[in-house]
Amino acid sequence: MLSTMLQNFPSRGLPLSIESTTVSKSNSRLSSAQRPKRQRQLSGQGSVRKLVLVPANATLPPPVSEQYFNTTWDALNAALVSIFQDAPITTSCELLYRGVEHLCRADKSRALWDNLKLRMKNHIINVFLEREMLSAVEVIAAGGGITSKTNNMADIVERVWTRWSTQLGLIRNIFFFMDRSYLLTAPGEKSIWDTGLELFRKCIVENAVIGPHLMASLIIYFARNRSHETVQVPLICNVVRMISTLGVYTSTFHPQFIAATSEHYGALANLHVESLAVPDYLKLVLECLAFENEQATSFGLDRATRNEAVAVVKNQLVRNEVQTIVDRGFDDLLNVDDIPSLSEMYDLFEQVDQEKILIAAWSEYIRREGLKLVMEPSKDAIMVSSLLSFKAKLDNIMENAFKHNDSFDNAMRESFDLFINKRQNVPAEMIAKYIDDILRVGNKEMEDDEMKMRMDRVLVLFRFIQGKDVFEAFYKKDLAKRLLLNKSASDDAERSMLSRLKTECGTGFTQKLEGMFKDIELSKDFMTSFKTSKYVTNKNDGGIDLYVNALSQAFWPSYPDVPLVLPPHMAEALENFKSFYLTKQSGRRLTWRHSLGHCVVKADLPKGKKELSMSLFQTVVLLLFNDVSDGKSLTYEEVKAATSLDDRELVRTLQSLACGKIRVLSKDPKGKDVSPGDRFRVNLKFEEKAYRLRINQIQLKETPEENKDTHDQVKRDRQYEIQACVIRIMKSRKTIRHVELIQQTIEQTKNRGTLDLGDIKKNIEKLIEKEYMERQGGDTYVYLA
Amino acid sequence: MKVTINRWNAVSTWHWDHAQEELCGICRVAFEGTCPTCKYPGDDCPLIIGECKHAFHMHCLLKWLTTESSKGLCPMCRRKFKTATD
Repeated sequence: MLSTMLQNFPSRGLPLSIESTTVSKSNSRLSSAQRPKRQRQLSGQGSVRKLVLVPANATLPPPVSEQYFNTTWDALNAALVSIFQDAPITTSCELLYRGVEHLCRADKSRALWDNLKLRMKNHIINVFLEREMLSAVEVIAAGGGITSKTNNMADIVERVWTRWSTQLGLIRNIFFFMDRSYLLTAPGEKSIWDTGLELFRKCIVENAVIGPHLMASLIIYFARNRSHETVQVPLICNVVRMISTLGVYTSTFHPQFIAATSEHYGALANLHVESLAVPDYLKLVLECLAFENEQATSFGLDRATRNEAVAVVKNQLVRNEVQTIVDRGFDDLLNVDDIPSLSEMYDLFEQVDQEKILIAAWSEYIRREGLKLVMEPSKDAIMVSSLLSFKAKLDNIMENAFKHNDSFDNAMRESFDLFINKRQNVPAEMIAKYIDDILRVGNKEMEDDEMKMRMDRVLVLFRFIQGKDVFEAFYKKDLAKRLLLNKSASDDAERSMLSRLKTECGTGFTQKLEGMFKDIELSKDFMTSFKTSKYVTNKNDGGIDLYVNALSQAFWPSYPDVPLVLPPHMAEALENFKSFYLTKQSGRRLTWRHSLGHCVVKADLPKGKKELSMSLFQTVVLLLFNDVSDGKSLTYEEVKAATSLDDRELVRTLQSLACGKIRVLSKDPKGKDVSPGDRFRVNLKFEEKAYRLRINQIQLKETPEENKDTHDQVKRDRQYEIQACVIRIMKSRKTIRHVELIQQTIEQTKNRGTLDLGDIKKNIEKLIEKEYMERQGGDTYVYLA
Repeated sequence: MKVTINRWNAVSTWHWDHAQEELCGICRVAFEGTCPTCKYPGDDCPLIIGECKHAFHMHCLLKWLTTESSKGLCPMCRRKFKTATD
């Protein structure tokens, strides 16, 4: 087969190399007779004989004549012409290949290469550039820009490039021998393929006219793709691949592409940032990001280009517009709990490193909204529950949109801290009352778990409060009422709240509260021993089932001494207890706190028997009517004389009996208010379904006076706190400047309550008066031990 | 109408009977409160009264008497401190 093919070439008289290969084969092969001998030599003697391998084609190629070169080149040239015309090659490729090989072997590579290079260059310039492109450029120029879809430079280049790739492939195959021998070693020369590409790049892509046109048209294709016009994806892919094969991707295409992307999204941002609703705008941003990613992948753009394009989108649509986005819609999103949009917003802002702006807006929002909840006195009653739902809302956003970002969390804390303390004292008071609501019996019944959850939630608010002394005062007052009036829902719940407060504020804070519990327990024990003593009067003999809580004054809120005249049998019962108490606890005195006493009485009313829970005052007043025959009345003055209650208490008591929901007494004249001169009688029409009735709510309810007292008490206590604190500081510092002393005092007492600057100064004066310290020079104090 | 008391929950507070002052002269805490080391007032932290009629938390006074500078004197009137016998 080979020989017949070679015989088709005889006229050219090519010297056949077949003999030389055979020869070389026999040369390189060791004769079988020599082999055993060599082995013997290796094992027998120390000297090693060198084995020399002679290359197969070591024999010099026969020189070729000028004429032979020309004829061979003619044949090759004819083939090139066919290739350049995309026509089939008439000569056998094998022979062409052989011809190239022979010329190369005959050291004609250089001349052959020069010829080939020139042909390729001329072809690119004459055919591709001149004929195909420059004419198109003229058309484009005449048409006023690259608009027509068919006349696009990218299309033309792509077409030419596809042709050139095929042509170059064929050329390389024919000149393969030269490629693998001469060009591999010749200095400064590249392979046929690379040279072909380089020629194409230099002549076409880097051509001063074509180059810019090509890039522009490519960019236009991407622009069309962005506006969702149909584009030929494979075509663009090819061009992109060509650009990157030609090595101009990074230097030329990438910057232009990024610039165009930037411009496009800059315009898009301008167009939409003010007009679209923020959630829609965020959606748009995400769509654009996805689009750029997708586009980069489907058009085979570089990873670097893709990343940069995505970054450009974020920059133009988000980073440059952060303030606008936040100003236009962040508050609204928070208001309506648009978690998905908030989450998108957070993610985008985080990606462009602009969380700071979001955090600032977040803080600002919490402060503004929080102040609305806290500063409005008419909404005090619902302050805590609205704060709790506000907090829950924010927590939800933190969890689902802001991924528990610490900075956001801190900002939230700081903002809460700030707004909740803007209104002094009241939030603390309201929190104490809210807890009282949870723990008090008869309010909403709830499961243990829910109760604990509520406690934990409200404690979160409690942590922000600076006026902890106000909280303590009100909590103590409410706790006292719960314990003494048996209104506590459960002992367990009370204790679990106590232990929470203990972990929150330390033992110092709860010591007094714990003392209160201890008093109640001790009283219980004491009562059991009282019940079995001789001091207790039998119930059947008209005695009263008496239970006494004997308290240590230091733990409990101070209660005013209310004068009250008790009916003789009641007074006697108390005296009996007192005698018993003093036998057990010598050296003490007992003071009765009648305002906290309460009774269960059996009332034989005109329309049936009832059991009434009442305050002691109510009981004493009602007992007066035992001696009044039905239909007869007592005047306000008569009641007052009999009980010696002061006007304030008496008015409240009579009101609760005669003007409330459950009216055991009736008043003449009728009306809601009680005033001197009013007459009271047993309400003959009194009728209620239930047997047991509670009418002692007035005891639980906080009167404005009580509220004021509590606040005043806190204020008084603060004076002592200030003095103690100043002394502590003076003791450790000995001398200190005025400003520093004030600062440290505020710092150290911050948790207890916010201090008034005037108060601190006043107390310093007092301490100077008491000679705990003295002034030295203008603004320095010295501690006097 | 006839009203009878079934049950009566009364509330009282106790005080030390014999204290002239309200505050302990040593720790400046109310007698009804405790000395700085105790937690619960009453029998756990009783008062002590001297012949000079000055009263203190017992713990406070005992602590004072153990210091050298006290020389066994009442911190209020500098007379020899002796517990009142009555």
